[in-house]
Amino acid sequence: MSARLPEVDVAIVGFGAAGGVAALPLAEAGLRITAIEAGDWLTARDYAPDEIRYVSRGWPEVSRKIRGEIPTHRPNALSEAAPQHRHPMMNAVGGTSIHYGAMSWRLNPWDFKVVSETRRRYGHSRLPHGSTVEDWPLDYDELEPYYDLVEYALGVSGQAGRIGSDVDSRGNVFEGPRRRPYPMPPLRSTEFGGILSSAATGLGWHPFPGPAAINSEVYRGRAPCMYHGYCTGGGCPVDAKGSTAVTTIPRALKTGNLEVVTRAHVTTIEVDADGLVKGVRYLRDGAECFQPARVVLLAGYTYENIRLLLLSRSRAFPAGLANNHRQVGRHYFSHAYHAGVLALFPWNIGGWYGLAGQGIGVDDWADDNFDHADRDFIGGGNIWVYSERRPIGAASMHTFDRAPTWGGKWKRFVMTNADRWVTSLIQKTTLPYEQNVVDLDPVVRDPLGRPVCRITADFMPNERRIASFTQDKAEEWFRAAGAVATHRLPMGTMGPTTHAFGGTRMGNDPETSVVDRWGLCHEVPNLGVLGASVMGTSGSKNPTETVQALAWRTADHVVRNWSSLSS
Amino acid sequence: MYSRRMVITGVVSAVTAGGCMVDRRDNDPAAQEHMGDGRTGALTASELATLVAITGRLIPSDESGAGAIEAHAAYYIDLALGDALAPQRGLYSTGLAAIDAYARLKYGTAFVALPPTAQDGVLQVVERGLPSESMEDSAAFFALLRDHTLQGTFCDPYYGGNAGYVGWDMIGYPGLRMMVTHDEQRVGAQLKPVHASAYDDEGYHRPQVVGHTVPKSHE
Repeated sequence: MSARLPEVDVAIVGFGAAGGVAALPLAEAGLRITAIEAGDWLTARDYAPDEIRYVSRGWPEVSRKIRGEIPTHRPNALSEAAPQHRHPMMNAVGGTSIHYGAMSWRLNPWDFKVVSETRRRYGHSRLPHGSTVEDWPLDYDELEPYYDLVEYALGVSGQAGRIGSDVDSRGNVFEGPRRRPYPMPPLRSTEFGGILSSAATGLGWHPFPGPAAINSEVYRGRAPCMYHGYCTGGGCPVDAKGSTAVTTIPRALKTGNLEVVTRAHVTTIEVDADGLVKGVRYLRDGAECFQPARVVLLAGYTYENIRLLLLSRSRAFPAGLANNHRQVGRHYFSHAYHAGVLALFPWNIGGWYGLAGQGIGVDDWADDNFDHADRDFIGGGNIWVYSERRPIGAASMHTFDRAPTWGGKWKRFVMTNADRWVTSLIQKTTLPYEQNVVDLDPVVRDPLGRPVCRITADFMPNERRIASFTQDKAEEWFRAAGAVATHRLPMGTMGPTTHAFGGTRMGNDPETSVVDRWGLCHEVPNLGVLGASVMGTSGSKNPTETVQALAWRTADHVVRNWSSLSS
Repeated sequence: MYSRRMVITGVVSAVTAGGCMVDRRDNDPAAQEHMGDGRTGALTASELATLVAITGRLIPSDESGAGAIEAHAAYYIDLALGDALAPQRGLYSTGLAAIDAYARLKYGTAFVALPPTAQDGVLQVVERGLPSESMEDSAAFFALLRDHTLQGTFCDPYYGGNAGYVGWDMIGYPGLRMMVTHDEQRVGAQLKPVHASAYDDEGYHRPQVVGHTVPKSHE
């Protein structure tokens, strides 16, 4: 017998990067919201600069729920799925927006129209074989106002490359046009960053500082970044990082229309006899509760979004909620950001401390920014170089075939070279394919006895060719900057990751998508999905700002259409 | 039979290297600080002795300076196996026993009693892969040992390793700085080392480890 709570207008499942943004326009419009979050509140007192806790151990105290739900993985349906070791998220109010690197990008306009643009420029046969890619049901121009809202609400620092029709070569000359500058200038760059920029310019490329949801100056009462070196993977002890926990969520709370329920583990989303959602069932402190709501927004990150739908079965939806067309879990992919390049320099680069947001990027080889006429792939990769060096990570450095991996010679190598190496993060266009899917594992269960997700996915030839091509470019860049050795990292396979996409794809056709162009389920008009699970292509950028822009847009749509949605 | 204290402060390795039997804990404030309250870790004294000797080969003490033994890396691992790394406690038992058994098989004596070059020879075999009758996938255990030794040598001293900041000093990490200037990020910058733990600052919640209990947070 579960406790039945008073009905609210909107229940948000999961209160991280996406749910935490959607709450603001909903609450400001006067709707009564309950946000249901598995984790708890954290504060700056939880964010000591501690590499063991964050990097080596992945926040053991705040990751309990997800540790029991780590998806299994197999590269294809011919192999057995294996349990994986770490779930990439954390459970907390603000979720992964607390400890992400906070790179905050817009996608390139091309990413929204990969099919039509590829056909137009190169012909239909250039679309990769076996890909189920579609054009998004909206384009960059439609999302632009929401990118702007997110950037000003979180506080994103950066250098614009295109404002209207003006191009500013200090920024990214390949980006889509924006209406106005970033709210803050970019984070401080480093001397080493300057060396990289000069080298890229010398090659005829167009380097630029990247945008980050991190204050470069005081912003709305929050301190600027201190560059202390424990950013990626760690929380910000001065609240310079624009987590939803310190930006949109407090503002939503101030309206008086938002209630946040923490330590609540959602088990199912329930529907009524007409096949509309009526609320959310959750466990809290050992008791079962039912939260009635007129609209439910699912924002639990890609894997849990898929899993909760598949586990919410009913007579109207025997294969899972919103899954009568069997699209839930389809068109899944994770970002190909493996296959980076390491470089060794003959001098100390000054890489202790710092953060990913201080990096230098090159988009010349990303998206469709270069002519692919003579290439055997479409898309490309953004090459991003930064240093955020911490001691255990430094000692774990690759030895570039110049020393063994332990012993006296190793020790002397690391003593000399600990601050002489750097990595490049190369985020590449990744597409959905017929054979890359997420479903429920037939064997492995979570502590409640419910199946975890099973990922059946691997990188396909198009992604592997992009990887090889962009590794060539990264090596060229590092050598031009003075590197004496480089090492190409392997591609690996498509296991659980922080950049997971698809599974509840957005589209115009219910036969090939789960949610419509506004993020509401085709089959369940009062159920929305927020998160990268709705994205149809990855772009060559970190997904979070796009996720947040889409979430704001979905929330706006809910507000504008409230009377028809709630009746 | 070695006491845990003797093992951790490297007295055992001093004996095996033919050095004089100095009880370093009297001269080692870090050892006193971390062990003075009688905390015990997960491993037996003889497992710990083998582990200390292994860490001493992974990151040796030599002319270039202190190594994993001075950093108390094995102590870090010993504590962690009773706590955050508890799921790997069984693997350590198996692995350490297999390494010692291989040493006895090949050289006729315990791993801890071997000279350093012989110890390196044993570890090289473990790294490549012991025969599966000895241990299934010793290469994976070796990789884990190395990872944990790195953690124990270069971690925040709160966790029992990087004793006296020997690890951070070894690789030139200038320590925790909550505010870093542009000049401090210059190419070739020489920064004065800061020897402080993140948890010297009373303002942070302390993770539950090394016998500490996490203060109850907000309700």
